[in-house]
Amino acid sequence: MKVSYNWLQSYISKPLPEPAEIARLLTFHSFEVEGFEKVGSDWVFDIAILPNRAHDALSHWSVAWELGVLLEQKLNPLIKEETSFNPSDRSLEVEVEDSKFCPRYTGRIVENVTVGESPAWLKGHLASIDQRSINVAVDIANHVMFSIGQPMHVFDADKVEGEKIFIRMAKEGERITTLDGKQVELSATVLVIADSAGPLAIAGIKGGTRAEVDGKTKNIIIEAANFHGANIRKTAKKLGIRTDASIRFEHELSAHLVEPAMKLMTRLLVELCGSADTKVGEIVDVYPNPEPKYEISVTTKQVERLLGVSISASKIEEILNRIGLEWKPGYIVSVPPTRLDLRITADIIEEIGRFYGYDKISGVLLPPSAKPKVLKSYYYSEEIRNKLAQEGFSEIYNYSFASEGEIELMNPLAENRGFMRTELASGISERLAFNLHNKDLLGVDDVLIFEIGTIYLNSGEELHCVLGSSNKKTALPSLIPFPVKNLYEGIENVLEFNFTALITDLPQPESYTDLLPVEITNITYKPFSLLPFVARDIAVFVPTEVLAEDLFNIIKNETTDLLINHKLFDVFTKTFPDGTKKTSYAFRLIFQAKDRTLTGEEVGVIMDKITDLLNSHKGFQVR
Amino acid sequence: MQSDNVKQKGHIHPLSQVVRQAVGIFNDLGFEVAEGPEIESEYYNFDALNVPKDHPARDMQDTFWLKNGSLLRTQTSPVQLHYMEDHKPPIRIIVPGKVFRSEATDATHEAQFYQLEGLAVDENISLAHLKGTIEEFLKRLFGKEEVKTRFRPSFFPFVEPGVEIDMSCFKCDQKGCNVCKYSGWIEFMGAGMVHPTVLKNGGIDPEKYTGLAFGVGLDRLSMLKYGIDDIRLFYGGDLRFINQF
Repeated sequence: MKVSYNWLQSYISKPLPEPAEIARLLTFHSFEVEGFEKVGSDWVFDIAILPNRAHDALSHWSVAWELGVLLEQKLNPLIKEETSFNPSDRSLEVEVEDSKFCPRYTGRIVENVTVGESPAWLKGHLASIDQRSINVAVDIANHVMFSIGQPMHVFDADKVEGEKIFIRMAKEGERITTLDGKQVELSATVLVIADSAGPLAIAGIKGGTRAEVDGKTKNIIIEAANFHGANIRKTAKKLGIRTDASIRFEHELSAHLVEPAMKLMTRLLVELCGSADTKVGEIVDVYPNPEPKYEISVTTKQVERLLGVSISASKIEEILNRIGLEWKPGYIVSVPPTRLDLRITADIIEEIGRFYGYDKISGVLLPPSAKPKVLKSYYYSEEIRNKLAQEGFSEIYNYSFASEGEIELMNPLAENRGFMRTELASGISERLAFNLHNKDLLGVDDVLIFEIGTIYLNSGEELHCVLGSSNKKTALPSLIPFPVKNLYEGIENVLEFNFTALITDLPQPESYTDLLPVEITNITYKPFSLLPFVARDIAVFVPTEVLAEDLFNIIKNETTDLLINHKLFDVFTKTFPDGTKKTSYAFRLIFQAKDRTLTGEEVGVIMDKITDLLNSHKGFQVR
Repeated sequence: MQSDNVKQKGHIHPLSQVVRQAVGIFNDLGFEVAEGPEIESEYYNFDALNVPKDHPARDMQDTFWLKNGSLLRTQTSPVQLHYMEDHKPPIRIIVPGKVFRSEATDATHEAQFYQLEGLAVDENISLAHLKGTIEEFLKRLFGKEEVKTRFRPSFFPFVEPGVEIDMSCFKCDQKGCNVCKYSGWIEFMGAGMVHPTVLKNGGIDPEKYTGLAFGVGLDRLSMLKYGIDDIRLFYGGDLRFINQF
């Protein structure tokens, strides 16, 4: 939510600290400030209001209130002094079909207004949070919403049939032209504000053009209402219309908010659009089931137990006072009607904790406890991992999704990923082929891979283990230290077995200690090039004193960092006819560039250089 | 350097390595490893965790629903409930597990990934214990003398108070670097005190017992630790990646 610094300042008499300090205070005690920037003579914050505070805190007043608590300053009253208005005898009739969807509706008529342009301060407030100025009446309604979080609506009273408003479900097929000129078809789950001629507005979401307030409007109906959040959300989604109003209603607002909202709106409307002739009608308030008042008990002991820090009674009372929570000794705290998120003791403790400051809590370890029980599936998985790694197998993790299976998804991400896998073998087979292409790059003799993962059947989930080798000669079953049954005899050199079934027969281990070394590996991953690599072999006869390492270092000096891997694949000694003994070393060299595909020619040039260099050494002979 | 006399060395997946380290650390702190099903019911994944029926997280956009009415778990938190139902306090468990989110995949988002859940329930568990436990875990995981943490107020339906936890940057020791975006802090997990309703749903008396809970994304943690730039690498089965670890 965009929040204007100047707007916040208008609620607090003392000058606010710098924006950076405001951001810090809010982030560590209230909501995360994701950023802020200068906009003209103002600063605008981007604040992530927590989902459980959206019912009251999507407003400047509430953010200012948080600051007031943190800076220990009281907020200026929203309305400085009550004034009286000339009464109107035009009264509004309101009929609410089902209070489940509209728990509270307040409306009043204001007669004899002039709807023109908004004054600069109002335009400025709206502009700072990227809101368009429409006309003074609509702007005031928006201003009230962004000030105190209650969405408002205004109708041209003379365009409403009779002076009766219905809050009802739309009839199938009813239509409305919304304020942005779109024709919207309604259905029986859409709540509308209507007159006897038909819908005037999609309740809580968007108004219609029929009773639109424009420059010619003389008499206005103000609406401040409370709508059932779940229904508003459903409708907004169904119609594909999401507005600042619907976002607030979706999160469920307190029905209490309509009171200050109606007061503030009336006051501003009369001030900015009114004259001596302006008359204000009675508020019609349909509120059959008033929200109950809540009281929550909390003790200093409970606070200390949950937070893990000792806060004195006087400090707790000071915080409760600053937050504005009325309390009786004990403590019994009265919840302000707009705070729908305060319902249990833990909620009050959170309020105390966050304003006290989490930074004041020091960490402590849990007391020592009995040695934990070992989880068999984890223990034996680790044992297999260690064994297979020793045997040269690398572990892969594959996707759980497959193109066929017993368990089907309703909303898969891709067509061929519509099921949960029932086996691991096909996945590993495919990865064997893939990795085989890079065998030389990897510097391995064979591609040896395994996976330990879940498969999903109608009868339940099973943990399976699968191994695969690119070498037909690898005797896979002999690598597993337990008797296993291969589930897929047909697939070439792949062994998959049911791990869950296997471990039921294995003993319960006492501890992990023989399995878990907790060495800290400080590897930094190096991104690898996806471009093709070139492999070249070179074999050299050298005097027997020369070690493979020395020989390679000579080669390395000649190549650039295009040489990314190498492998010594053959060593033997030979006695020549003249009696000299020499060692032959054969290397496979792997070349790859990060930014381009290396050509055979380029590599050929490098190989020629290496050959010449080696041959220039005494006693060296490239084969 | 290899010759054909030496067997090639196998590599354990980096996520398995991080889980192994975490299990070792938490085992020392008295935490048992627990597990639970990847296919879950709406009850255990949402309702019993105090996620209200009209919560945006339940929309089709985030959850993979199955045609048989179940779903793929979106978090490892359901295992808290399964375990509590079968055990009386004191409880200390960690749950490393695969979770699923219906999200478009990119360098930082995947449809399946791994989380590490933690739960401790006893008579006097507090936010201070949460801080101490996490700081100890991070200290050992990154091999540091000390790791600082910062708690920021946040909201999750299954904890109250709820917090976001930042850790002091392990890479630059808070001097400023690109890992911590020059702020000295890395945001990395959510946590809090177990909501009394969740304890009740697990058959535990919230008047007598309190609990701490946390959930950390293991893929993200590994990416931070090893400097990995793309989450999809974990599931690509590409030895050019895995054999680096």
